Amino acid sequence: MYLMKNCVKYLFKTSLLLLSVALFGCGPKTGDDVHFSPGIVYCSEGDPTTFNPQLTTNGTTTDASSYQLYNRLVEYDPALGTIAPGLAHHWHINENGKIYTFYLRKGVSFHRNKGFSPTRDFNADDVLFSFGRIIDQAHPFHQVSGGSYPFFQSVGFSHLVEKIVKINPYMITIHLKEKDSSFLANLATNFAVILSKEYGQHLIKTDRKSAIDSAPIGTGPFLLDSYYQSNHIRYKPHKKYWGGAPVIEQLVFDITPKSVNRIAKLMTGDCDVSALPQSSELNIIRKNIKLELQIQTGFNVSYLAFNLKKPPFDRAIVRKALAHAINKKAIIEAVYYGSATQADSILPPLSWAYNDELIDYQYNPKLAKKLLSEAGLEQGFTMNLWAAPVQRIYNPNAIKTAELIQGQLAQVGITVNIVSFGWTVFIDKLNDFEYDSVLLGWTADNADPDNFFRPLFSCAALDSGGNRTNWCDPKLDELFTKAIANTDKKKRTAYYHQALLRLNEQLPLLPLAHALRFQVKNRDIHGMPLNPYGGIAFAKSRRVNSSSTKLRGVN
Amino acid sequence: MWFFIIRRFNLFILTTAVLYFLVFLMILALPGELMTNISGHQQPNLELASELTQQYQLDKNWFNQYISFINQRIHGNFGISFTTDQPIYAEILKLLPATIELCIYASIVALVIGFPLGILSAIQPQKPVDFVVLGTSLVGYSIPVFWLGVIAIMYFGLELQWLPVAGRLNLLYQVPPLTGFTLIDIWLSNLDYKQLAYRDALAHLVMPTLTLAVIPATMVVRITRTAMLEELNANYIKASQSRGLSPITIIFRHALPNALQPVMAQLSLQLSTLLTSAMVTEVIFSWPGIGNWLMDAIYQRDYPVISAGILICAGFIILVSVLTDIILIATTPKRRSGVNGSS
Repeated sequence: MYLMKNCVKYLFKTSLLLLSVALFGCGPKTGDDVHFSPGIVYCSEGDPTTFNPQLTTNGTTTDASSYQLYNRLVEYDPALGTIAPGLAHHWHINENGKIYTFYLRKGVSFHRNKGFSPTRDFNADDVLFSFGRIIDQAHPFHQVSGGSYPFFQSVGFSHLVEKIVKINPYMITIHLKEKDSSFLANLATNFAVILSKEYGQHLIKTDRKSAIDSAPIGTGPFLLDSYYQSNHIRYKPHKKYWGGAPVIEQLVFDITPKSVNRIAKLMTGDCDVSALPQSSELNIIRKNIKLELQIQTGFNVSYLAFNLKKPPFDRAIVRKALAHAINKKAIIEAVYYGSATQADSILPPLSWAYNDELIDYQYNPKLAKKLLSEAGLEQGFTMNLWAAPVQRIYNPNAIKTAELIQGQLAQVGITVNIVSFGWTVFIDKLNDFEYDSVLLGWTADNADPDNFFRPLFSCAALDSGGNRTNWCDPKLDELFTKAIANTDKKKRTAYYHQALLRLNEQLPLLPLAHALRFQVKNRDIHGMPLNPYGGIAFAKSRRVNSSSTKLRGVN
Repeated sequence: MWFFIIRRFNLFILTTAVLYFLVFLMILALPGELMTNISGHQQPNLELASELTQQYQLDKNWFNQYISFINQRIHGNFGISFTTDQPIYAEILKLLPATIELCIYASIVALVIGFPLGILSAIQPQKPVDFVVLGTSLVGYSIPVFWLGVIAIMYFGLELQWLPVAGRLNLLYQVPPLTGFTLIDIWLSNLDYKQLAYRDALAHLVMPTLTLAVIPATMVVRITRTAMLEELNANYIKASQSRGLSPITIIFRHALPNALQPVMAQLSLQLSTLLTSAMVTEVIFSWPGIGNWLMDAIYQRDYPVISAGILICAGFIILVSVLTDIILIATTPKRRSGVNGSS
C-alpha cells in the first residue's frame, strides 16, 4: 500500500491526543483531600426485615433500628455492666419485687417525617402504647405486621406483666404477677423500644397502620430518611435529640453482604465502619494503618439445632451420635480461623452461671457409628440441614459450616442436603418447622444468663420463633421459672446448672462455638465502643480528620 | 426497504418465540412444582393457586401453558423472586439502567481507543507500529475480564488507593434514583456539591469501564484494521491518490466511511460478548446491575429470577442486533442485495 508519511504523523498525533484525553478524562481523581464526607458510612451485612425491633430477634434488624431510631426506658451500660437511665431518669422497685415505678424524662421529642409532625413530647401514654402493643390483644396495632413479638413471647412478657398504670404524665408503674430478676435487664434490651402513640393515632386516621414499622417514628438520635432494599439505608440526625444531637450530618448503612467487599470498601474509604470481618481477613486489617480492629469476647453461641418432632431426631441417641460425628475443632479452624472457642454448652464460659461439669461429646466417628447402629440406623439416613447464606456474629459462614458437617456426617453414613434461602425468607420459613436440622446461633442482649435460656428453650419461645428445637420441656420451663423468681445469685446458679445438665443430656441442640466479636473502623472515626452484647450505636460517633489536622499543624 | 424491515421484524418475532420456548422448556425441566417455578410463589394458598393456574393455564396442555407463559411475560409479569418475594419486573427496571450505563461507557471507551489504533495500523501494515498495535490487542484480547478486574482492584484500589473498588457512588451523596443512570441523576438532583458528586461517580466508573472496555477495544482495533486495509487497497482510493487528493481527505472522506459499514456490522455481533463480560465485571466491582443480581440468583437457585434474567438479556441482544441490522440496511443500499439480505 502507498505509504502516506504526513498522514501517519497527523494520525499519530490525533490518536495520541485522543488517548491522552480519554485517559485524562478517566484518570484518578479522588484523593483523601477532595473526599466530601459530612457523615459516616457503615457497611452492614444484610437487609433489615423491619424498622421495629419489637417484632424480631434478628441482629441485622436491631442494628439498623434499635439504637439509631429509638430509646428504651432504661439502657444497659456495657462499660459498667449495670442498668443506666434511659427515657426513665429514675426508677425504684418495691419490697416484694413486683412493682416497678419509673419516673420519665421531660422534654423528649419525637421524630418527624413527611406525613407526620409531633405536637407533643414523650410522656407516659407512649410507654403504655408501646408495651400495650405487645401485651394487649385488643390493642389497635397488636396484629399489625403479623402480631408476633418473639423476644417478649420468649420471656413470657405478657404473662408476667399484670398491668401498667399511668400515675401522672411522667410517672408509671409496672405491676408484675411474680418476681422476675431479669425484668429490668429485659427492658434494657434492643427490643423494648418506645414508639409514639400520637403517630399511631395519626396512622389509624389515615389508614396506614403498617407504616408504624416501615416508616418509623422514635425518640432516638437519628431519624430514617430513606431505605432502598439490598442497597442502602440513610439516616439523618434528630436535631432535637434529648441526649444532644449527633455530630455527624448523616449516617448511611451500605448493605454489603460479601465480607471481602466490605473490607475493600473500608480500605478505599467508601465505608468508615464495617460489621463482621471474616477471621481470614483479620491480618490484612491489622497491617493497614488506616484501619483499627476492635475485639471483644462475645456473649454468643452458634449451634446445630435438631427438629425434635422429626424422626429420627426424636431420639436422644441419634442426636448424641451426631454430636460424636461432628468435629467442632475442624469447624473452628476452617470457619472461624481460630477466632472462637469450642462450645460445650449454650452458655459461654464467661457467664457466672456456667457449669463446667458437663459431658463433652468428643469427636469420635466410631462411637457415632456404634450409637447409630444401636438406634437401628446402621444403614444411615438422609437429612436436610438448613443454613443461611449470611454472616452472623456467632457464625461468619454458615454455609461453609454446613458443608463441613456434610462431609463429616458422610463418614458415618448420613447423607446431608443443604437448604438455603436469603435471610428474610429463611427466618420466615423456619417458623414452619419443615427442617430436620438448622445451623443458627444466638447473641445475648444482656449479661443475665436467662437471656440464653428462655428465648431459646422455653415453651413460649416455640411460637415466637426463638425455640428452633421444636421441643417443649416442662422440666426445663420449671427450672427457668424458679431461677428468675430468685434474686440470690447462688440459688439461681444452682438452677441454671441443672438446666444446663438437662440440656447436655437431652441434647436438643449441639452448641458449636462461641465467637469473638470484631468490628473494623477507620481510625478517624471516634466514639464507637464495641458492645459485647451485640448492637451498634452511632449516637456519639464522630469523624476526627487526623490527616488534615496534621497538615494544618505543619503549616 | 420496507420489505427488509418486515423480514427482519419477522426474524425478531421468530427468534424471540424460540427463546421463550427454550426458557419454557428449562422451567418445565426444573425440579419442584411447575407453578412455583413459573410464578415464584413458593407456598401459594388455595385462592392464589387457582389464580395462578388460570394465569398460566396450568390445567391445560403444554402448548397452552407456553402461550400463556409468553402472554404473562410480555405483559411484564415475571413472577416474584424466591429470595426477596418482590416482583421481578420492578427489580429489573431498577437494575437495568446500571448495566446499560456501564455498557455504554465501555463501548464509548472501546471506540475511542479502538478506531484510531485500527486506522493507524491499517495505513502502515507490516510496520513496527502495526506489530505493536496488533500485539497489544492480542494480549488485551487474551486477558480474562475477571483476572484483569481483580488485578486492577488489588493494584489501583487496595495498593495505591487511587480509586474506589465497589458500587456506583459514595453513599454520602444523596442522589435520588430518577432515571437509574448515575450521571444523569446527579444532573437532575439538587445537590449543592454536584461537582464533587460527579468526580466521585466518575472515579467509581473508571475501573469497571476500563476493565470492561479492554476486550471490545481490541475487537474494534482488529476489525477496523481489516476493513480499512480492504478499502485502502480498492481502486477508487488509488484513483483519488492519482488525482492528488490529500491523504487526510482520502482516509477520512473516502476510506473510513466505507470501512465503517463492516465495522458496525461486526460490532453489533459482539454485543453478547460485551454483555457477558459486563456481568462478570459487575460481580467483581459490586456494580448493582443485572449481572450481579443474576449471579446471586444462580447461587441461591432462584429459578424465576434466572429465567427472567435469560429472557431479558437474550431479548435485549436480539433486539439490538435486529435494530442495527435495520439501520445498516437503511444506510447501505449495497446490503440490500439478495445474498446479504438473506441471513
